[in-house]
Amino acid sequence: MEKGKISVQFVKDTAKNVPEPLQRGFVPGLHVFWNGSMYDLLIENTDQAISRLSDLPFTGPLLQASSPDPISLPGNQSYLHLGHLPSLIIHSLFETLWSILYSGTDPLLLASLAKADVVDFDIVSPNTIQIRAIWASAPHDDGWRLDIWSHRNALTEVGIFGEERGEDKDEYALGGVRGILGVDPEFQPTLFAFPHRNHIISSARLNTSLSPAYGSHPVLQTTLPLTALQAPVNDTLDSESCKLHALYTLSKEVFVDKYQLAQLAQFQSGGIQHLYGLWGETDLEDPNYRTKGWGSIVLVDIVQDRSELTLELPLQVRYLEPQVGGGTRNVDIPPPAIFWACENSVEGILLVRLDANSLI
Amino acid sequence: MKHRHSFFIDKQPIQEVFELVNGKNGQPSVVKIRRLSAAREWKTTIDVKDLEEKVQNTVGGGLTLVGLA
Repeated sequence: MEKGKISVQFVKDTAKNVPEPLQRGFVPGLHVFWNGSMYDLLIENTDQAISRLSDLPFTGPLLQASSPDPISLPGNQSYLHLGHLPSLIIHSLFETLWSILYSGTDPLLLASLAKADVVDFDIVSPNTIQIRAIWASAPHDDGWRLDIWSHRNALTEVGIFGEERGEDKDEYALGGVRGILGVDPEFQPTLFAFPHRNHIISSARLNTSLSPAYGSHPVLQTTLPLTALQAPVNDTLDSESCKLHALYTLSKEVFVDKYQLAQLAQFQSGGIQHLYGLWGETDLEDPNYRTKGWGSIVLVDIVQDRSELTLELPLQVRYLEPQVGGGTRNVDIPPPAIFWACENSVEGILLVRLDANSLI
Repeated sequence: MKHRHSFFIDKQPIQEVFELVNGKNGQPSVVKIRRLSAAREWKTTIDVKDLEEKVQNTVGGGLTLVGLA
């Protein structure tokens, strides 16, 4: 049986401030993707298939028994998203990270992980784990101030880059310096060029709201400024292939009616040109408390207009579980990830910058 | 184990924000970063074998990695 891969990502609300090229349309919360049932990293029970969420390496024991089920994505991939995590679980998550990294990682770096805007760890192969952290900016007003040391038992590479132009108009490039500590006597000038395949519109530049802000059939409206509607490459062979998309991550308290959405797309109403895909909980009748999956993912093509556009996604609110004595519950609906996706005819290094890539 | 530290600046001159000091006679090298306004990414790649050895050394083996949490 094929060995499984797993990807775990913890995203803070502040991740919307992460600039390109690190921005990937981050949605706050804990995201877990996996595509297999066996993991070499389980030292015990290596021949047992994963049948319960709690059996997943790394995250399984951190999840509460009441956690919702994952949803299925293309490519036989399971996906769990938890918008809110109790602080105890976040603490356990970081303790797990620290225990893995304890020997061989600078203690100051371990401490600063808690301030990262995005932390993810991936089992990328049966033999390899990758752990990554992103900070949108320096923790101090006067910028980063740190010493990075070489390690006897580790390879340490440092790079400082800024945005550059590629040789071809369809290319995006990063230029700067990089070097391996203890190996390279000087930092080397470096230029990375890669096809301009995807381009994320920072959610900090978007205005998203519910209209009306009450009732069981609100519309999620996102205003796209003119600058967001301009393709990342122009007047090139690849520019004609660029399409603008919106990816919605909806918790199970709300859902979209795919028939209604298909009809809107037929008339290009609300800025929706085409319903590309809808995965997860889409039952039109189930109340929230009988919906097993955590929610749904909606991917639409956006009408490419030349003027400012308000994208409208009609939502339906599920019946919530009645509470003795009544009361209210808050439901967070994150703004959509708006991004351009372009085909490329240029040779180069493929930089995958959006989880939604696997959906397109 | 491999560590990769990447900084992504906006409009700051690169040469003014770092100093590389190469270690001599087996001493470690260090890059000193100062007043650098940038987004940062740190990525580390770990060989699972090293990790399993660490787990066994730490807790006597027989536990999953998550059992460390």
